[in-house]
Amino acid sequence: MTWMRVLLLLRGAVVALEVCTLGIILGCVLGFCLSLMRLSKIKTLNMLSLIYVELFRDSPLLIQLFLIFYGLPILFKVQTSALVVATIAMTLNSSAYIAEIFKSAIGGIMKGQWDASYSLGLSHLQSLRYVILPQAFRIAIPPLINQFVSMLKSSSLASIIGFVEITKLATMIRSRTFTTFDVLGVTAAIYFVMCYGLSRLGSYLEKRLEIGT
Amino acid sequence: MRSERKVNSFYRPSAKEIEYIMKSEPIIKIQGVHKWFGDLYVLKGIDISVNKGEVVVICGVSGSGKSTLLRCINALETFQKGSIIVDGLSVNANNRKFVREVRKRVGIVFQNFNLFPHLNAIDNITLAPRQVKKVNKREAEQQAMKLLAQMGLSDKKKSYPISLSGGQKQRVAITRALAMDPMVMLFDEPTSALDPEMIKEVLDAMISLAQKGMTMIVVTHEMGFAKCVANKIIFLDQGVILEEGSPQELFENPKHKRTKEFLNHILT
Repeated sequence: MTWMRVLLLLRGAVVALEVCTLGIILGCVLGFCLSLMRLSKIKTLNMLSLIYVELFRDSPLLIQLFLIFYGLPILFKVQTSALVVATIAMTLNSSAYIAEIFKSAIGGIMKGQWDASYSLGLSHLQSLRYVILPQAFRIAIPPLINQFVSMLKSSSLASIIGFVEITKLATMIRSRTFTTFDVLGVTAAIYFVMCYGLSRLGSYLEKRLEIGT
Repeated sequence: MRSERKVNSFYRPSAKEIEYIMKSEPIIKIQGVHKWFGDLYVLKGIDISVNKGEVVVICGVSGSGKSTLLRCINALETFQKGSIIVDGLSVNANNRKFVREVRKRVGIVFQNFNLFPHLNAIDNITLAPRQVKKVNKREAEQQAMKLLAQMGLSDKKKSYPISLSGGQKQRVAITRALAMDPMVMLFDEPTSALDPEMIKEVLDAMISLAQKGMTMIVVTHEMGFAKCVANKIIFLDQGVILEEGSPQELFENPKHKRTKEFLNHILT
C-alpha cells in the first residue's frame, strides 16, 4: 500500500462525497415537493406521492441503479456516464426517504401553531411559509444528515455499474496488487472517518438547533 | 295617513343616524349554533349577541363546549347548524375569503400562548401585519413597539419565546393579536396555563384593554376578572346556555342548581 494509492482512494472518496452531496440536494428539492403533495388535500397528488415513495423505499438501490443504467439507453436512447446514472439514482432514491422526513417534520409541528397563524389572518400558504416550514426544517436537519450518511455508504453500490469512486478504486487496486486486507482496510477507514464526522456534525446541529428554538 | 306615507317614501337616514344604527347593531351575533363531532354533541343551539364595547365572560365546567364555541367565532372550528355573524360577515368555513376577513377582525389569545418559537417577540407581533395587511417593516415595528410599551414589555422585543416567562409569553400573545387592530378579542382560558404569580399581570393587561373599550369574549374561571369588567356572564353547561346575566345577578342570585354548584366550587 503506497501513499500514492492512499491518495487515489482519497480522491475516490471526494468523488463519492460530491455525488452524494449533489444527490441529497436534488433529493431535498424533489423530496420537499413530494412531501407537500403528500400533505395536500388533492387525492391524486396524494396517491402519486405515496406510490413514488413506496416504490423507491421498498426496492433495492442496486436494482434501481441497474434499471436506470440499462433503462435510460433503451427507453430514451440516451447514453450517459456512470456518474450521471449514479447521481440520478441517488436523487430518486433519497428523495423518497427525504419526503418521509419532511412529512413527519411538518406533521410534528403542534396544531396550535396552525391555529395561531390562521387566526391572525394568514392563508394556508403563508402559514406554511412563515410559521410551519421554518420550524419543520430545523426538526428535519438531524434526520437529513442521517440520510446523507446512509447514502454515502450505499454509494459504494454504484461501483458495480462502473462508476469510479472510492470502492471502485479499491477493487481496482486490489486486483492489481492482490493485497486485499490493507486496501479494503484503508477504504473502510476512510468511509468511517467521513460517516463518523457527519454523524458528529448531526448531533452537534441537533443540540444547537434545540436551543435556538 | 297620507302625509305619513309620503314621509316614509322619501325617508333617507342621515349619516349620523346610520352611524348610530351601526353602533347599536351587535358586532357578533351567534344564532342557533349546533356542533357535533360524530356522536359527540358539543353545542346544542347557542344564541349570543355581543355589542360593541361589551365584555362577555363565558364560564362552565370543562367539556361544556366553551372553547369550541369561541373557536367557531373565528372559524378555527366548523359548525353544522346555525349562523355566526361577525361585523356583518357570515362565518362560513367554506368561504375562504370571508373566513380570512373575519379573522382579520377577530383576535384570539390561546391558553397555551402558541407563540411562534422560531421568531423573537417583535417578529411574532409584526408577522401578520406585514404579510396580511402588507404594512411595511418599519411601520409595523413602530406600532409593535408602541403596543409592547403599553404591555410593559419594551425590553423584551428581541427575546425569543423560550426565554420569556409564562406571563410575558401571554402578554406578547395578546400584543400579537392586537397588532392586527381587531374589533373583537377572544380569550380562551388565557390564564389557565400560568403559574399563580403570573396570572395577575395578564389579567391586568386584559382589564386595561377592556377599559379602553375593546369588545371581548373571555372564556375564564377568573371570577374576580368577571366581577371587575364583565357586562354579561354566560354559564354554559353541556352545550347549552344554562344561565346568563350581569355579574351581580349571576353571583348573588343564580337561578339554577348547577350554576350554584359551579360558582361555589370556583369561588371557594
